[in-house]
Amino acid sequence: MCSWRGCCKLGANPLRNDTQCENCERTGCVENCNQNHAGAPECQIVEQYVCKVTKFSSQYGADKSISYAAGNLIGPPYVFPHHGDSTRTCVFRTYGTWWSVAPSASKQFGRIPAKFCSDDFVEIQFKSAVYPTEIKIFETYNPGAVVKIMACDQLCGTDVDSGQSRWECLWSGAPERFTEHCRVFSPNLKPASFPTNLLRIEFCHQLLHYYTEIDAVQLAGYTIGTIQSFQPYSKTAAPKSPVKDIIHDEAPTNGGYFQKLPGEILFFMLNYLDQLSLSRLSQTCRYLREHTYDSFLWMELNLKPYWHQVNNSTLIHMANRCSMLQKLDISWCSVLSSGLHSLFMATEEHLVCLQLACCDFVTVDTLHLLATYCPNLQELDLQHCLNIEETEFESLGPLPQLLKLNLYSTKICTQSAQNLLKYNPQLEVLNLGCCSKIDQFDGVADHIAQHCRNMRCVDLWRARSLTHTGLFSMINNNTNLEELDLGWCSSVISSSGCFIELLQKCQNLKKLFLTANRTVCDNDLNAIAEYGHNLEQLDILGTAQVREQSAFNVLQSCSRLKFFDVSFCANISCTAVNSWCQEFPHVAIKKSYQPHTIF
Amino acid sequence: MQNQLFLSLSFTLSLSFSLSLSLSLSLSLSLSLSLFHSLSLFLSLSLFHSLFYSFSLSFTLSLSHSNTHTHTFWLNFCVADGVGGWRSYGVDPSTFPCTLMSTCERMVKENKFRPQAPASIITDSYYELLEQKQPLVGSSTACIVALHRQERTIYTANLGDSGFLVIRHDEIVHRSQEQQHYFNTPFQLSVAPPPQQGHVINDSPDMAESSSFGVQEGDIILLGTDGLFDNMNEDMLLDYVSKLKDHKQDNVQNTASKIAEEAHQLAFDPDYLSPFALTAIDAGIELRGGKPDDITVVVARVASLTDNEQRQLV
Repeated sequence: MCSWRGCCKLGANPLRNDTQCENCERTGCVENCNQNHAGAPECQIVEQYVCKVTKFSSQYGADKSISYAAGNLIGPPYVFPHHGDSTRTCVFRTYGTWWSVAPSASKQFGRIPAKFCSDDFVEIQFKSAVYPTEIKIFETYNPGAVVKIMACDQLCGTDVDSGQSRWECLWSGAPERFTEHCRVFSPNLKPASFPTNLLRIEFCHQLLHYYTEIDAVQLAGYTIGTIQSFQPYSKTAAPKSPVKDIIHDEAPTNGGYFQKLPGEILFFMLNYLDQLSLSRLSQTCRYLREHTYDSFLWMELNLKPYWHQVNNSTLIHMANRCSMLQKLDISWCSVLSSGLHSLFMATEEHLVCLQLACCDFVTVDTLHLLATYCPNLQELDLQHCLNIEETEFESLGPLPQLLKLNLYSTKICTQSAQNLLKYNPQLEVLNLGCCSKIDQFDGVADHIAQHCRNMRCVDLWRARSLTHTGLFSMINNNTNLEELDLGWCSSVISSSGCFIELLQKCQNLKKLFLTANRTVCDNDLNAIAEYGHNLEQLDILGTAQVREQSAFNVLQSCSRLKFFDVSFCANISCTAVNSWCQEFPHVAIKKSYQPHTIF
Repeated sequence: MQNQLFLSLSFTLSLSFSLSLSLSLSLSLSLSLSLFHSLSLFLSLSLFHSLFYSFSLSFTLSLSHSNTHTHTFWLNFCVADGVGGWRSYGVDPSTFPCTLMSTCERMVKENKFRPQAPASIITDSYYELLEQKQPLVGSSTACIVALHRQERTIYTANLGDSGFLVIRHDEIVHRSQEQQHYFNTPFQLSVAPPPQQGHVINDSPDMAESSSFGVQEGDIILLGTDGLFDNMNEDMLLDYVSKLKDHKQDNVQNTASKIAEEAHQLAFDPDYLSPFALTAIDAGIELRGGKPDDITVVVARVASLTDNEQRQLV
């Protein structure tokens, strides 16, 4: 009997091989099998491109736009085999370490496994479920960022909480630094034990020189006529949640030699273990369980690396050791508000930092919980939480300690943003990037100016309605700004003198992004050269008004400059950039290019 | 099934060389036929040297007999005409209309549009142009016609001086309205470099004039740029169309080519009192002769699907 496994070499590309199996006459059978095919399950090779992007963590393009958007993964490659910065690919919001060294950055916390380095992910769906044999990722600009490919067993449903969802890692590896311009990345896959049509690809941007761009993803694999008859999924194979207890199990009481150690020494040793190891250790014996449950070991909890295994009961079980919990990251996870509720109750208002990036379960109820149980919160990350409606953000109310608020790519509206600023005048770091529902950014800027005098970092990426009026009021009242991202704020016009005044008044600026402003001119750069003593990162992408001389002035005068993006500046030639790179080796000067494709 | 293209398509491209460098427009033509939301055919032509050309194209628009189709069924075609004045700023005037058309094509292919409102394709595409990292400079007019097969209706949007005619039984039954600010200055979508901002005409894409019109079997839809309408009046166009004895593909294509050639000849006739010259005189400008310009003619005939084609679609 020829099963598809025996018939075809996994990991190889059977589709390039058109040889037909002599017996079964099915193309793609690499090794001819001499067995009888009668009764073999119907096997068929399917090669397919993405039909839907179901989730993503961030994208460069604007909401609803088709340029630089995650949706561009759908369908066959367009740019490939060309390479370059193209609007028709999937591009993420950040790259490299530039965002994590900026003044607004938060440190990663929790004892996470060293291997985990994912910054972004995209979840893609295909038409038919297959046993994957090959995945081709068409990377058309700065390849090398893919670090993990996961497959979802959708037969069991995607609802993590019912314990039915199963994600299996098909491949994982370290990010690579590539010199080549584009490639088709096709790693050797671990065979999956179930057919899948839902993949999740994780990216690590640490080593990237510039944005990575993905043109398309192809999934090749075998379909089985009647999947159930081939390999029914057994529920017993479901992976256990990594941090789930076995309280009711009979564990040995004897701690062995560990019992002879003073508790402090044991605590010191346990402090070196990551979260997963600690949880596993807790299952060995009662003595160690007692010590691994020490709430001082659990002051920081980061569940993001385990997003695919964390469910509601994980949180409920974690609750009894988290009474001292100060920092919690459950980004990317799918749990329920009830799990969060019990965890919040256990933390006894100690929580100061909460990261909830890309959490679909976060709704207005979660915000109510937050307001009730986390009054001491200093840092809150709600980026890309799409299930909070426009006006519901107000339920967050005043959080008197809150310093950092990240609302990147949420649905918050003008009124809510203004009210939040009014309630929280102590805010220092605010990210309102890509908030497309805010239609009057000038009003928001006014509120920042009026209420939040301590504001240090403001991210207004793609704030289309922001004009120089809003910027002026911010400049005049928030002179200690350290970071300002005005990328794609096309209504801020340089001829109003707003950029010059900004540099004169806010001399602490360390990061200034004027991406795609188009009006940035020589005078602005001269002001930067004159006043930007502290400037470390500068982006003036896409302006045709700047000449080489003034850009050179900036490089000469701003001694702390480390990052300078002059891509698509029509008057700055590649030759100039190359010579600057030699002359200023401490500055990463970026000059992107478009692919040579026809329209 | 998706590979079976039942529309027969043929086009001739006649390039006529002229050394007159005075007034030149660049033009990009895109034809996007989207069938079943899955099969699309796209033709794009762009010439950005300073030579005028004439271009003609014809094809068949097939209507659906029955209302039983579950799939919405659309045909779109569109012309965009760049403004040549940008050449003096060192800007290739064809880039803007070409990018506009390729974006429109993408919108259609990816079903990111409401066909009953083709103006929305122009609007969305225009805003999409502003999302490119590479700053884009230029301006363009745009005219789009979308046929809904079951409703047997065309939905159109026009911004600027390109236009279309619907001809039934040798009479013009529906036509687009020309949009001009003043003589020889059509409404246009534009992106100006910052120093010129405020000095360049930039009409909102929402200014596009939209209409819908029910079509019948045998109707001829004629889509052209200002190079056509400035050199030939409606009667002349009707003459050509009325000479069509049957609506065979070859004859339709012949007509389209003839119209384009005739317009091209008239454009260089110094004594011809062209519609362009007549409007010039109305505007108080003494002008004679044709208007040398790029000329694009698209002639489409409306037909019913044959039973065979019908079967293929269901």
